[in-house]
Amino acid sequence: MIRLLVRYAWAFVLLILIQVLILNNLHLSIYINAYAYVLFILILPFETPGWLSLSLAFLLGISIDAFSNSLGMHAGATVFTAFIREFLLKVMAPRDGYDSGQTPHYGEMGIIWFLIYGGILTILHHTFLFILEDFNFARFFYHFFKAIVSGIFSLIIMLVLLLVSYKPKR
Amino acid sequence: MLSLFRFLYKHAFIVYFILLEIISFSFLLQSNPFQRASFLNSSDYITARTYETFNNISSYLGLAEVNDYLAEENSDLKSSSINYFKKSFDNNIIIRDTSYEQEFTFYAAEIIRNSVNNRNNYLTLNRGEMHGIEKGMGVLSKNGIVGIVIETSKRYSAVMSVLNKDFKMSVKILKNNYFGSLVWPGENYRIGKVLDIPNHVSLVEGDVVVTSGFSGIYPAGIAVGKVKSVFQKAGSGFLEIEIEFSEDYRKLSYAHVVKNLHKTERVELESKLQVND
Repeated sequence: MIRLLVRYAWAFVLLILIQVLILNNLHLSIYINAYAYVLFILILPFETPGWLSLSLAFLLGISIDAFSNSLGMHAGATVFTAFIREFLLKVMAPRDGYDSGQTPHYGEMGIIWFLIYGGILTILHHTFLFILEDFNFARFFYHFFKAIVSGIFSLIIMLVLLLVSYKPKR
Repeated sequence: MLSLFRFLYKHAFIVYFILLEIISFSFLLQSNPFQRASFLNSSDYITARTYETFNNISSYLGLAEVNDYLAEENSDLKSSSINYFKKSFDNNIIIRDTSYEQEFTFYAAEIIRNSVNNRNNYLTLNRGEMHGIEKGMGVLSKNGIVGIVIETSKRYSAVMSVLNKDFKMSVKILKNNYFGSLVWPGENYRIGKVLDIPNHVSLVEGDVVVTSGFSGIYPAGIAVGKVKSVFQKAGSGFLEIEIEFSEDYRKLSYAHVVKNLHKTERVELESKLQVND
């Protein structure tokens, strides 16, 4: 349990640093803004109570906001993501439920499952974020397109991060 | 009342979600960008230190380019030095030094954080109150305008970039002095928009747009960009003007913060007139 806490605390700090120091400075195209820090919400264990994942998501969003002078923007989007996650996990549960101690990791759930799960949440998060950022619903399709392109890119970065940090259970 | 509590308890997850979203939105919707940035921003100690440490490492990678930039600026300054001017007339002309009074001074600062691909972009400078930076000062770079200081801490300051939804500045067309206001419509960080220039003004591609100096934040006549396209919108009395910024905001590494020495005098005078700007 303690080991798990330490691991997630590390993941929290590292993801924020990777986001604000590297990804935010990566100006590849005007359509690509990668926000891979969402990974933290994605990999929370299945048993995480709803209130805890919401609180952690809020904390994560506010921390990113503090670095980007956008107080409330990322927080709104991450809380929304954590909220949707709760329902998505129910919908995507295997027939006999999740095993205890299992995490939504591609190594445990399979790559297809993870891509669908991560893809939906990431693109929803990005869409919500881009609309909040511009506060202009008239340009919904522009933001949605941007969210899909950026989301795919974020997902690739997340997979790389998972690949680097994955330790198979013994 | 009891049934209300029972309802809240039953839907605690959704209630908590809505509560957190309301908190986030209330942060976000504070209408004044100056207030919005006033707590938890990138001039705070922890965030600014993180950026500075990282910048110290990464700035080595761009040293060659920065050197060119500074060398070029140095030569510009040198060429405007009085030592390199030759007197055309001997003692025929009396130069009255007192007829000139300094209005602006500049503080050099290093940009330790910058972004161009968000809708609202901000910069962080490694100079703060300790060095004389105050809220509301303008920020320039070698090729153009950068933004305006919105928050300061002891050693750092946060700057709202030109590339921001809340940034609006009065500019003028250099050749005919018509003035309008500059905004950034988003999407492309090289392209800005000038509003409020009437239809009858003739403009061509390449016309230079400069600061008007009306706000007193920037000196007048600082380059902002060049007109890229002009067209008349049907049913509107104003032109749609796109300009290309003279500064490439992606390459910034140094900036100058502008201090207006006459600011208090001017503000006092204008507050008597109750000018709403």
